[in-house]
Amino acid sequence: MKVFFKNTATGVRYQIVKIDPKDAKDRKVVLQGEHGQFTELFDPERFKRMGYLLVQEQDEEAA
Amino acid sequence: MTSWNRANKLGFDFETSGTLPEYALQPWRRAQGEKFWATSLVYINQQLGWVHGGVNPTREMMAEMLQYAIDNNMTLVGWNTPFDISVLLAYGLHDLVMRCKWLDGMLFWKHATVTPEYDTNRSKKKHYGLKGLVAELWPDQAGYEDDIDFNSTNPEMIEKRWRYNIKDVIFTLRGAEYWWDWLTPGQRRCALIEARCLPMVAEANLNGMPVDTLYANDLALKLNADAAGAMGKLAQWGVKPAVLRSPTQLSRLLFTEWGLPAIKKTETRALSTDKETLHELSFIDDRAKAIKTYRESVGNQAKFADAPIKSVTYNEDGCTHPQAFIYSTYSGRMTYASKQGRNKDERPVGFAVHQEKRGKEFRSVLIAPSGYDMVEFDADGQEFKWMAVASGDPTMLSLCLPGQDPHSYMGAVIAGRDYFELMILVAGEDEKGLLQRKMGKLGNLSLQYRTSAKRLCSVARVDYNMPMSLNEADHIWNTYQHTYVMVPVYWDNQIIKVKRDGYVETFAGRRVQMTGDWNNRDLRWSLESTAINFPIQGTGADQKYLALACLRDYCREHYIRFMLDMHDGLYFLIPKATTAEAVPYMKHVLDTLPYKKAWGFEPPVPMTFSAKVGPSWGDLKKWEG
Repeated sequence: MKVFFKNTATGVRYQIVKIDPKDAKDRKVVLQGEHGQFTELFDPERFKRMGYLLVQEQDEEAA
Repeated sequence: MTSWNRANKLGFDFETSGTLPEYALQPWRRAQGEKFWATSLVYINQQLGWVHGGVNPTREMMAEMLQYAIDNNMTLVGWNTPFDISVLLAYGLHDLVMRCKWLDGMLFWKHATVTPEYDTNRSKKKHYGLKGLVAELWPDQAGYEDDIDFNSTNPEMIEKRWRYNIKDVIFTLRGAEYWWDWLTPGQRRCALIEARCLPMVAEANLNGMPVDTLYANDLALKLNADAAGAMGKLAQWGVKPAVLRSPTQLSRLLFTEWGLPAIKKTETRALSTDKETLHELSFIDDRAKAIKTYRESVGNQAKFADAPIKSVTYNEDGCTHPQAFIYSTYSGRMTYASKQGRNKDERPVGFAVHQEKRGKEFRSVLIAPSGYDMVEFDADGQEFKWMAVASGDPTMLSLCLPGQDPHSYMGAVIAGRDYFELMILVAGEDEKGLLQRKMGKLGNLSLQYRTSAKRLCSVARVDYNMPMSLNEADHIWNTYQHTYVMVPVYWDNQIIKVKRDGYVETFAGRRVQMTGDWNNRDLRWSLESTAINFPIQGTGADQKYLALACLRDYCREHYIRFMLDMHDGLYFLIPKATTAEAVPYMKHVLDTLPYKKAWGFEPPVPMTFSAKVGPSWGDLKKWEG
């Protein structure tokens, strides 16, 4: 099952490769973009403010 | 407003601090657990002879000042006022701020004395700061800031800082009055319109612009891969990255080792390796093409992907805060500072947004905040229209009327074909027709400021990516001169007039002093160009300030935020629920700006705006209503 962060406003999406460490306050997320993988500090509030939502592949297909 | 009335002016100024000294200039830190605060506020009415305010001012104290100004119909006067207004906004006083009237002594000083940048030694460029004013007008008082510690909590220093703050306001009022008296009625008009925009600029600086850091990271990867690909090719020819970073070594490689033809020289007479040179060489040599790709990719990654991410990380609020500055260009256009401080104190608060590349790929980095649409209002054919008005050229003026397309017209004349036939081809997106229109656009936009055929050739190749021979450029150049016959006449007349008057003026009355040495061969071309360009480009700036001034109340009432001023466009953030109503209304306001009332001059052709709406700067689509 692939999980993505999808920007609901612009439509761009990034596949989550891993979130590490899972419970730490400053946890980082490795994302797969169109041009490669990059690491981003995972702040759920900021991701939300940027317009990103978590979606699974099957949600994508349904959409 | 003709004479300066001390009775209705409230001079004011803040001193500020933060949990780090540098935060004192970053009011957006207030929202981050109060990492920013005001250490003192002074407001003074000279006529009544009183000083109000206090140390560690509260929000209530600030609101009291604003309410007093509103109730007594007073105007608040500051120096570099956008900063002080952004302090008030950071304390949550948006509604009162937007209802107040503002003036800025720094703005008056600039309007009274500004000269073109090239006319001044860079190190002597005027910054119009208050301390510089005191040194110039009241030298015996200069250095009054010398032993002030802006962050100390020592009671003695707090007292000293308070007295310093009072002096700042007194000098602000004296300076503003001094320079107001210097201004012509036209300059005053422009300064007052610009002053009406100050709270909108302050708000934009405070709020910054949200960055999609995920997108920016992916863009950085793409540009990095482009650079790596180009470097991989160059490695086959034995080129190392260090060579590409040094203009001297690169020059040796291109022209000595590879024997490529020199294109032009630098000011120091060395062989140039600039963007234009590499662009020309890229047509004839694959190695030069790889160098061009490498340098562009590295530069674009640093400026337009890494820098926005870096500023977001630094600012800690998800936003980049390029600081709009209204005092830095002689034409009146806003510029944006990507950093605060210098050398080791440099802080990456923003990025070079005013240099941002065109196209979705780069611009998608900036997004609208959640719940907002980003809206662009672009002044249609702004410089073409103002040139039509300035030159009075009948063909140009007729092309400014509704339904006309000046670029198709010019393209048709260049190609020797029928104008309406080309319009039909363009409407049908015919490839050849579009190319001919593009040629017309290039001619219209590049030739209205005396560009030579040789320069046109270079602009076509570098900026428009259109191959062009010198013969073709010559043909376009001649066609332009025969099509718009009054434009060259305007150039000549304007040079004579400005040389005689010692200044050049926009339609609104903004002036630039042109007292430079017209006999200096190196300077003369620049002075003549300013004489020609300034009425067009400066009027463009005046038009945008008038637009902002006219939209201010509507924006306040509908929670609309000004975001950015860029080229011919003004960008706003509009709450989504309001967009459908706000865009047509704002467009109507912009299409019918009160030029006659504001400037005493009515343009003879309609000055219209186009609207685009979208979730990010890269996703703006034409507003169809």
